[in-house]
Amino acid sequence: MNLLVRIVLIAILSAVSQTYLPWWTAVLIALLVELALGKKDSTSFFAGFYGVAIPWMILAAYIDIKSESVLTVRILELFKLPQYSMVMIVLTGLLGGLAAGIGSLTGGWLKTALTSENG
Amino acid sequence: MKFFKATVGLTLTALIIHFGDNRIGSVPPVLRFLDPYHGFWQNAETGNDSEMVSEFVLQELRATAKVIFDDRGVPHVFAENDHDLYFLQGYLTAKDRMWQMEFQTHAAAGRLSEIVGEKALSFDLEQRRIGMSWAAERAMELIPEDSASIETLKAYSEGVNYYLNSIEPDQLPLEYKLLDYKPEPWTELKSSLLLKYMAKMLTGTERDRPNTEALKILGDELFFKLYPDQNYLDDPIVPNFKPDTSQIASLSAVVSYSQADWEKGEIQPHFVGSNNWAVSGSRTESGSAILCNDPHLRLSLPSIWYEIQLNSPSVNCYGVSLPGAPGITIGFNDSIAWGVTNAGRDVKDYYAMDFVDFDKGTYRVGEETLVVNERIEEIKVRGQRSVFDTVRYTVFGPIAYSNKETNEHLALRWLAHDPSNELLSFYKLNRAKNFEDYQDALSHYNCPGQNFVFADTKNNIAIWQQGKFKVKLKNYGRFILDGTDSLHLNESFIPQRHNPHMLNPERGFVSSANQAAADQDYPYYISGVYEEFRNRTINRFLRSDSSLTVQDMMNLQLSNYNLLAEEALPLMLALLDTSKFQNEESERLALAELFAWDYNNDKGIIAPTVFEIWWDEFNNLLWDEFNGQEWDQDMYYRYSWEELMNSGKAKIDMRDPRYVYPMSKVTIDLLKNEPNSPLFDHHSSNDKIETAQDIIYDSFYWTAMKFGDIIKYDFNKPHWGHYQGTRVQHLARLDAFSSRKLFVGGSEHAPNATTSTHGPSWRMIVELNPDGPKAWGVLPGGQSGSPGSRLYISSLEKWTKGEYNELHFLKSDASIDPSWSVLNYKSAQE
Repeated sequence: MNLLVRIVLIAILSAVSQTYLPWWTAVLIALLVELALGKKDSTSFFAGFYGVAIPWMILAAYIDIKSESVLTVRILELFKLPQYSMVMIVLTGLLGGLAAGIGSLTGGWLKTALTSENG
Repeated sequence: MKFFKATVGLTLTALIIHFGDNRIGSVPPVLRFLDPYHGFWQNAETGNDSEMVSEFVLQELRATAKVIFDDRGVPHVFAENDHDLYFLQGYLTAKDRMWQMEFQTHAAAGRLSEIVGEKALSFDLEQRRIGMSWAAERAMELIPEDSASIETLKAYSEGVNYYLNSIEPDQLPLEYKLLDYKPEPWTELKSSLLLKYMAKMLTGTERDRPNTEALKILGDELFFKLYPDQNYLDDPIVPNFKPDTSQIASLSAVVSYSQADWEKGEIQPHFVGSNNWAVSGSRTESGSAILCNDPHLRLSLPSIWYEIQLNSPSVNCYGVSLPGAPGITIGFNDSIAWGVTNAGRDVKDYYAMDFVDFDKGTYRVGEETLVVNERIEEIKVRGQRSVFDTVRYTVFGPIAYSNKETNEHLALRWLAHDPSNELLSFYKLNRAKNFEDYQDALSHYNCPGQNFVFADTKNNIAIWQQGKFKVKLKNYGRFILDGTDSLHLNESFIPQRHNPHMLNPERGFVSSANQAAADQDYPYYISGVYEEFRNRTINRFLRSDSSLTVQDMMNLQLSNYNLLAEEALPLMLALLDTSKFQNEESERLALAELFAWDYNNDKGIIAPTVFEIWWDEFNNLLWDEFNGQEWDQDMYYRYSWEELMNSGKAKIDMRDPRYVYPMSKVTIDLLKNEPNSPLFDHHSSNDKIETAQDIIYDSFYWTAMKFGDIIKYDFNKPHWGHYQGTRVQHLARLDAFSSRKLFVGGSEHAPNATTSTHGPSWRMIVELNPDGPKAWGVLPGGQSGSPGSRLYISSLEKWTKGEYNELHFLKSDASIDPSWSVLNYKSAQE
């Protein structure tokens, strides 16, 4: 299936799962979506990466704006990072995306391993 | 290859989930923490989108109840019975302060290693050895004897636990996510532990070990000259107090001091002080009594206090509470107001024990050989195996300090160990209607000793130093005592009616600022660490004006007047020989600042910076009696006290001047009356005998050098507010959750006793009008304990500027501002 469709699917499914379940279910969803619907090209990583990084960044940015960055700035100070909200938002998206990306990459590799055996 | 890739992928996925979800060293679980659905983002307060008026069913309640949150987030609880009242207090406090409540009780119990690991081990060990949990447990054996106390505690615990059971993991306070641990159920014992935590904080005035050390260095004559006990009791809390003690058995025993060679004591905690006073209507413009209180504690976040109004058919009370304990600690109700300051009395005595057997299982007291009670303390250490410590309890108390090398063991007799029910005092004060109720409430109060100030709407004012205090011979408990002497076991206590107190004195005001409670008329021996200046500034002000207003009271709480400077600086300047000036420019500049000064430690001026440096330098040079023979001035700049100690150059680590330095008034009298005293001589310079004049110049020279450096380097601005650098620190010392450096004035000897780390933790003024009280107050923080909340430090700016909030003391749940939010609770039974 088209990369964009997989990204959207991962984004929606992981948003639902994370409402009730811990963060790492997003990684598993990325893995499963890619295993079920992934293509045999090099886009596996990006399905999970964008599927999680984008919603995480949107949610983080929303909270940051609504809370007037009160906490964002304190957490940046805690980790000795430059005190711009965007740094925290991008970092959140980047690390979340990276984890889910590894999940979807694994899903892609699994699919290759399983389907090539059959065919 | 394909399977290899898939295996690598699965391993990677597993690893990233593992490391993203677990703490590594002191790094929080990275992805769990960053996850915007559950992690720290969820602790950011995203504005008030809840309904202004909302309704909930709360099964645990026995009737309907209402909570009104005012514009500052202060809850006003209206309940139909006391169970629901304290249930809701527990619930609301937990909602705002859960982490703080639990962290403080973990600290009290010596359990911080469970959370932060090995680095808290020595702290935890000390808590175990001084018997904090033991004391809290003993109190819990007594408290159930009073049904109101235990019911209150139980309802409060239920409320806290209701909160804990109702939240999802993503709603846990931020600190739990950051330090990666979970709260445990609240118990009544935890409330008791919290009270012992406060007792420890407020009874740190013992000097037994440093005094024993100083006595040895100085000899009897010099020690008692420099450390007079009862000769400096100017302007006590209760003057001319002389209760009839003919019925009291006196102690006739000779005090036996320990002759052993003691190791150096600990550095004492920073002096904690407070002010309170009440003026009768005869001295106020309005004709109503006014009561004021500002307890000075370590400035910390979340705020030490939680503001709340509690209303039920049995009580209508407003004030500040301690997160973790039910009721209100400082506040007012429809009829009375009360406040507290620390008594500063020495309620910790140390006894040197003589163990008979090698395993320290038995010890000798008089003719008898007694067996210790062993209490095995397990300290769980995060990421490591538990540490076990055997604490030995003697008839005096636990062995709090041991030196294995010299085989020295000190038993601690601490009055906080005695079972008591201070909660009942506050329970009754919250409901008190008059002086008699106040007196009755105080009768339950043992430790830590406090000066309770009182005023009512009928224009009565009173003050009472209340606590459980031992009847002591002169100098008893100032030095380490001989634990083998059985006479020490004959204890008796000063009855409440003999504790210094007064009702409606002729002078029209009562006050306390940590000075001595009574003067030479008082028949009992009292000792402790006392303030010598702040109290006199306050009394001078209260005496001078007989039409005081609320604004005057605010001005007095905010006064930076430094009486120490008024008394010391003219003497110092008179002795300063300007012909010796070597470093012309900075010396002239420093001097000009001092000459132009009015003794106010105000934030925007430079003179207080110069004075405070000079006073420290002067004391350091003067009190070289405590240092080694090879002492010389330059070393003070080259080495730290620790290095000097380690190299044997200094006999005592003097980083904290209060550790052994004589009282400032002793030093001032020496300057005034004995400028040629041998005490001024430098021990290191054999060729010359120095006088006060020499020490004054030498210390001024170093002051000017330091001052010159400060002016030269812009980063450390010379203005007092910058130099002092006051900061409100997070309870777990996390800088990111602390305040920035504040630009404020103050001095520990000024009514506004703000220092770099300590200050007024709550400023309160109550005018007791006949138709009910009117009150003002401000916290150096806010209602919420969450660093992600706007209410975390919402009052700090006002506090910094010296402004006050008018407190909303609601008469009923109907009279409210339409912009406030209201929670209506329904009980399931209805």
